[in-house]
Amino acid sequence: MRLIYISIFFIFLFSCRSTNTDRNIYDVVINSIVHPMPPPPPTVIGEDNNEISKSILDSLQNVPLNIAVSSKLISFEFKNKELLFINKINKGEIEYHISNEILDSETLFGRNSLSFKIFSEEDLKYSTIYDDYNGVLKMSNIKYNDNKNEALVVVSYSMGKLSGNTVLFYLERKNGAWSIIKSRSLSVS
Amino acid sequence: MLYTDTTRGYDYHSYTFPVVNTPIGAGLENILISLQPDGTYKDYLIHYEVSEEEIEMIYNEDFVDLEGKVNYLLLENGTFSQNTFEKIYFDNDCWYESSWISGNPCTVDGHLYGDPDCELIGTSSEATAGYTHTSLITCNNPGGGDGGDITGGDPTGGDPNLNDGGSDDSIIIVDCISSDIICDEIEDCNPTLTAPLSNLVLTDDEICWVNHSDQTIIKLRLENYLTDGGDSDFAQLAFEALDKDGIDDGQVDFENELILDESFVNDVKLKCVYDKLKASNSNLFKATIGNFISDPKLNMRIIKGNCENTDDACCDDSNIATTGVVNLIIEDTTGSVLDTAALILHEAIHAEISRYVLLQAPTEDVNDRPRILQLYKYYKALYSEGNIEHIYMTEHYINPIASALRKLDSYSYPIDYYKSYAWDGLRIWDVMNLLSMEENTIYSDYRVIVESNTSLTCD
Repeated sequence: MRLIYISIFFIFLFSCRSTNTDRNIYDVVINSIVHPMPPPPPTVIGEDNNEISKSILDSLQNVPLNIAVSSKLISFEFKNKELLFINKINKGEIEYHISNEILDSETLFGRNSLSFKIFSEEDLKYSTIYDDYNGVLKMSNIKYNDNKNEALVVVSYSMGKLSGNTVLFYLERKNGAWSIIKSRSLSVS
Repeated sequence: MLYTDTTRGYDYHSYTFPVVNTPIGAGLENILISLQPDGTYKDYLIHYEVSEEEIEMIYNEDFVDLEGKVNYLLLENGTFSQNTFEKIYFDNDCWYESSWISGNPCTVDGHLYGDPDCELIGTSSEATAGYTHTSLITCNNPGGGDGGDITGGDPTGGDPNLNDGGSDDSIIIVDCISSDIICDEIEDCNPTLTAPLSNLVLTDDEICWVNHSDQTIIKLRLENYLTDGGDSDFAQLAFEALDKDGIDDGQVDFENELILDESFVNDVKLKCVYDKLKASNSNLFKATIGNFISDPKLNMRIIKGNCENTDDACCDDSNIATTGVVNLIIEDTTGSVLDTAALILHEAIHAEISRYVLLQAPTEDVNDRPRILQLYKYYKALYSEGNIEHIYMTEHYINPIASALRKLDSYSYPIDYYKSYAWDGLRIWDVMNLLSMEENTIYSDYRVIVESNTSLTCD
């Protein structure tokens, strides 16, 4: 009996760990791709102002946004599967599409200023959704390497008519934290 | 074309060939080869004294009174038939000319090909077999009669740039050896892929398929494209589009090196809008889609399909660096011609920027970077490249889009009347506040006027 309890505990532990890992990765990529409307760039871009300032970034992070999320996951594959985790996501030919897999809403996570509502694919009407929501988000499942310290995920985010984009992210875990190492634009509308 | 008539007491038939080098303004000419009761042939040059306007009417199948305008000139016996008749045959809507090319004896001992005594079999010095050299002369819709169809077939049949069997196929030359299906109608598979197709990556089944006589035109198109210096990567895509295996099928615009996906071709309205846009040949069309046409390493595929991030249209450049292919995916075709044209142009601009960035080597000095690369760097912490392109487009592409649509609409209104279309998808990216609220309202009102009065239709 004791053995059964221990087994159940470990199964529960590992399933939570997997969910938490997914959640951490989604947190990183959502915070990277979901932003409010852009501020104007400097009139003249030079060496001292060629990147947006941290103070502007911080202020934008606090803007509250309502995000509609598709319940269906994007599926993606590299034609040459060997290219998956060799840190060359810009090399391989990739295929992706909306799948029938359902997003685990427990894994959806982002900064505090973001609020999410999940919609079925059928209920996501782009012609009207932006009346009530700042953006539409679609996630893929996450592919891990064998050591679970590298991950790939595709995220699609749209802010209005002809204003969407789909991006493949490559992440690595170092010192327990996931961070984006590379990204590759897949499509833009 | 072949004409047969059994009312003359013998199996009469004639052959009519259009003369393709008649000078403009000199009317139309046909060569008529007519079977005589004694089994010989007489050759005639038939000259139709018609104006260019009347030629156009004939092509449009309008009535033209030819009374007194047709002259028959009997040519010296056998001018055409004696030299070529026995070598020309008609099969499956196409005319072929064949001739026998003799083989060579063994270079050392004079053995003929197939002689088992030859000690050089399998070497480069082995005797070679003779073969039938077959050339496809023309493929036209059969028709005509005694004197022939004045147009020599349907000269307007089809888009001259598309592989649709139109008479733009008028002169295509192909060589084949006698073992080819095309030459002797062997139904068995020919598993050999010869130059210039030998660089294509095809399965055995695909090789058999392309070698079959049913695919003669497709094979010729591919061969001619490659022989003329075409790009092998595009030829590969073209094969996949033409093989109708359910994957990436469609039509091929060889001249412009464009793949028109089957989904796109089958959407009559979308194809119509694209054709009008192409015909208008605006500067923006040339500077976007046209750049893919002129770039041998990059190819564009136009698809009617679904986008993950919108239900309007998108540009899938995910594999531009690996395969060189950019997909323009048009999802919404419910709008007007101008709406749909604006979608195509918007996505074509994304494609062109992707092409530009791929080819652009970023410099070390940010001040030397083109504006688009500056914007990429400035906004990279916030947005993907695609959305940063929207910012760039507000600065550089509003007038070009509006101008292209104005030209498409036959310059019916001033350019401001088309700016509302140009701003579609870009309004929220107007970081420089280039479009005021007042202007947006005015342009929207203009758009209503344009839509109410435009004569552009694709219904």
